[in-house]
Amino acid sequence: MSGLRLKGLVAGRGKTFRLPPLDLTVEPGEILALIGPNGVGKTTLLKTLAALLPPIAGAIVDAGAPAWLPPPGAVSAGFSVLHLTALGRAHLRRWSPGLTPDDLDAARGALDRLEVGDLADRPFDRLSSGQQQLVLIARLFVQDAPVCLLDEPLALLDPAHAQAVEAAIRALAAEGRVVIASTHHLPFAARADRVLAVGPDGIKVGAPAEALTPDRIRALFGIEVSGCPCCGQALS
Amino acid sequence: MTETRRSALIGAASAMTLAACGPASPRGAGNVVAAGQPAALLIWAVARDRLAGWPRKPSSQALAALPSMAADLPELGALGGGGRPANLEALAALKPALVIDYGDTDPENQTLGDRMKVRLGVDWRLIDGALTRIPEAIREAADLLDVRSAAVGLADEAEAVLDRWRRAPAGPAFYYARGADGLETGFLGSLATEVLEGAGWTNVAGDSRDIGRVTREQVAAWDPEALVTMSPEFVAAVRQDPVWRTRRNGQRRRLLLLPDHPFGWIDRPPSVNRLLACAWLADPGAAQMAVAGLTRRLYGMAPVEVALPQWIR
Amino acid sequence: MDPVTRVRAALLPAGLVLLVFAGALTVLATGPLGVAPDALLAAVIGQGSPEAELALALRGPRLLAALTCGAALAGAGAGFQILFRNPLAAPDLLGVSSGAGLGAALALLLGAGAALVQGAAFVGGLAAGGLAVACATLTRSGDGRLALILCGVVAGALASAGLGLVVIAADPWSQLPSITYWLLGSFTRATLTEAVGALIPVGLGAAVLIWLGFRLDILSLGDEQARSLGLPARPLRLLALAAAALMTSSAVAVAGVVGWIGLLAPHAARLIVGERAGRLIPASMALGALFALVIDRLATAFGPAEIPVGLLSAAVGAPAFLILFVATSRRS
Repeated sequence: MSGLRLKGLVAGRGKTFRLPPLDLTVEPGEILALIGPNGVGKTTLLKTLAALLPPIAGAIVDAGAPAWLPPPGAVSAGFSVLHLTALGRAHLRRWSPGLTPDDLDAARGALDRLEVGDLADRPFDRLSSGQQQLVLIARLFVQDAPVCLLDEPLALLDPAHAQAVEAAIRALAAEGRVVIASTHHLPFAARADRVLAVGPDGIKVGAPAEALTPDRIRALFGIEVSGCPCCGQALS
Repeated sequence: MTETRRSALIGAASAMTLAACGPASPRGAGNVVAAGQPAALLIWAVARDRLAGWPRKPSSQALAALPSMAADLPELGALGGGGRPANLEALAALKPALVIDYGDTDPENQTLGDRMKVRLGVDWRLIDGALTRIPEAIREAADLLDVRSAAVGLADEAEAVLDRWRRAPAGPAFYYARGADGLETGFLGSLATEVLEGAGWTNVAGDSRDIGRVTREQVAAWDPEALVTMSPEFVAAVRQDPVWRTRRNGQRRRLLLLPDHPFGWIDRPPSVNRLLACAWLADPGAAQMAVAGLTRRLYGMAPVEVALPQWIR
Repeated sequence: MDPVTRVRAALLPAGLVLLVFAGALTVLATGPLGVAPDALLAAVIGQGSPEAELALALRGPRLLAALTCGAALAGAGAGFQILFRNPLAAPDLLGVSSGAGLGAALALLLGAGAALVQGAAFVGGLAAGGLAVACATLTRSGDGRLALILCGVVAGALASAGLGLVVIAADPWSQLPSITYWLLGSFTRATLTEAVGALIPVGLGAAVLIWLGFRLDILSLGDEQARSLGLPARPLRLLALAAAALMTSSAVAVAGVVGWIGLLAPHAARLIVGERAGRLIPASMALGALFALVIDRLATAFGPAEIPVGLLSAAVGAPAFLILFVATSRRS
């Protein structure tokens, strides 16, 4: 799979809001954690990377087709989990009137892999947030996109499901995909390969060890921490 | 769709409001107002210079067959059922001497008349519109309009026509196809088919009253010998759809087209115009002179060409 | 899928088709012209009595019109409900029914023949839908669905206002009854050519909607999801809307304005086959056709006068919808 390269990418909306230019190279298999205060533009940046918003300047080079996952609760569907997961293959079915049994098998495989295979025939809307999130990541597996962009994938999840989702994200990356996930969950950021911090003083990319020092967190969020602000876990 | 109907009513209300802001007062018209189109025809036949205006202006084709005075009369609207309502204030501004209503003498119409009399402050007379009482209606209208002597001839002729009509030879079993699609009809005993039924023709449409809708299959089940219509559009539709003319035993059904101009011969409106049909039904073969004479007396103009009912091939 | 579910999934569509077929045969075999079924059969192969041929010639187009209209409205309604994720979406969402009614009323006002009236209705419906879509596209709002609904309401309101003006201008003796009855709906108006003619756009629209299938499911998730999953969201949505508008216009052109089928049939179908577009749309069409057959029977069950089908569809459809709604909300 290819990686992701950004050349002077300026993400933003309209005339009033724009981020500083970003030059970045992400290797296949890398997990990049995107952190920053609310409203700074993480979602805008992710959507620009996902080709859902046009960049104001600069370019995304050498990227494969991106897949985007909205925050938990944003996806609502009445049909079955299996069907929703199989829809990940839609981009392969340009002209055919329906999904093939192959697609369904791939979907079932992905669901089993994430240990939610028993939910296959249930309506998606009846699942809990955590289960829904796992299903949507299974869909990412089925979609097989080289670049996966996840908007706050761990939000609203209980610890067990958060752990399962994090493991799933790692599996996504382990197969050679670029995974960029925005998060407020700093321990997750601490375990990522690199951290992209968007703050009032610009965008900084670095290893978690340097990006998550108390000084940097103070500069970014304006608070003092010794552990993760949201759950209190110690930052490793 | 109730949405559509509701909006139609709202549209109607707003258009009426607009119309109310409207018209100038007419000139050269008489001072007797007709409550509905049937009354307008009666007044026109008896003393046309006294008519103040049309409840509904006749089509240009109809006006072409009437003296030019007809086109000059304004459209006033109807008082009571059937058609665009009249603007009472504009009517009052005309200072009419009398309002004549010609039609059903049931209590409903009488109370309407009483109410309108109070509101408009004008004398209101309701004349019985039954077909068999047309001569009496003409005499009564003539009395009201002070033209007794002039109208005597018309009343007598009407009486003679009705007499011949009652003794007309029996006719076929018929279905009256009303409107362009022919699926609306007058059932047995309705006002619309009174003329034909009284002449000995049999109306196949039973099981209901007055005007109503039916299906083609129902008409096929009744199996009339003839279709009677006043609508050339229906004739055209029948031409394209041979099912209408096929009887149960495979024979061809007859189709009669009655004239519609200037006013319908048996219906629309149900007024003195129906005498023309009575004249024809009395003696279909030799009715030309009678119809021409009656047309001149009723409408004021000798027709360039006498329109007679046609049996369509 | 376990064997039981698999068998059920296979039997359901067959069962629905069978029901529709049985209903069609019943309509074909019964009527005021009391013709025995074997005589009708003989007439089908061209060897029947004149009476049987007559009965067939009268009932055939009516049956076809009912089936086409019912299926078209139900399919369009299902498409709209999926696309807009709105359980109250009906085929008139884009103002298509109102536009078609206006077209027909105008044609009747100008004294046109039946075929022209149909054509005018068809064009009027598409024009109203096109107006709604064009206005919505102009707004360039993100998802576009809200803009479509609003512009559809506007288009429908404009058409209704136009209709009101036509109603006023119409001659109350000769034109107004025709217009009123046309709008109230009837399956008996169409000739065989007209009914068969309506099959073409309806078939086309249905084929498009069924082909769209899972793509409609994706579109229902929203534009961002759709594009993320690799679908050209806007063109596909326009295609779906065009197909639904085509079907609705044809249905109104052939039978007048018949409401509630497009709202009720998808809800009932959802209870039987679930939410997936690939199954919901054909199932809705089958149920819609069935519903149309039922009200067609009822229209002539009470005397020689035909009760307008539009009235019956509301009289039967609204309570049925209420019952369905109560039943489904009890479930969830």
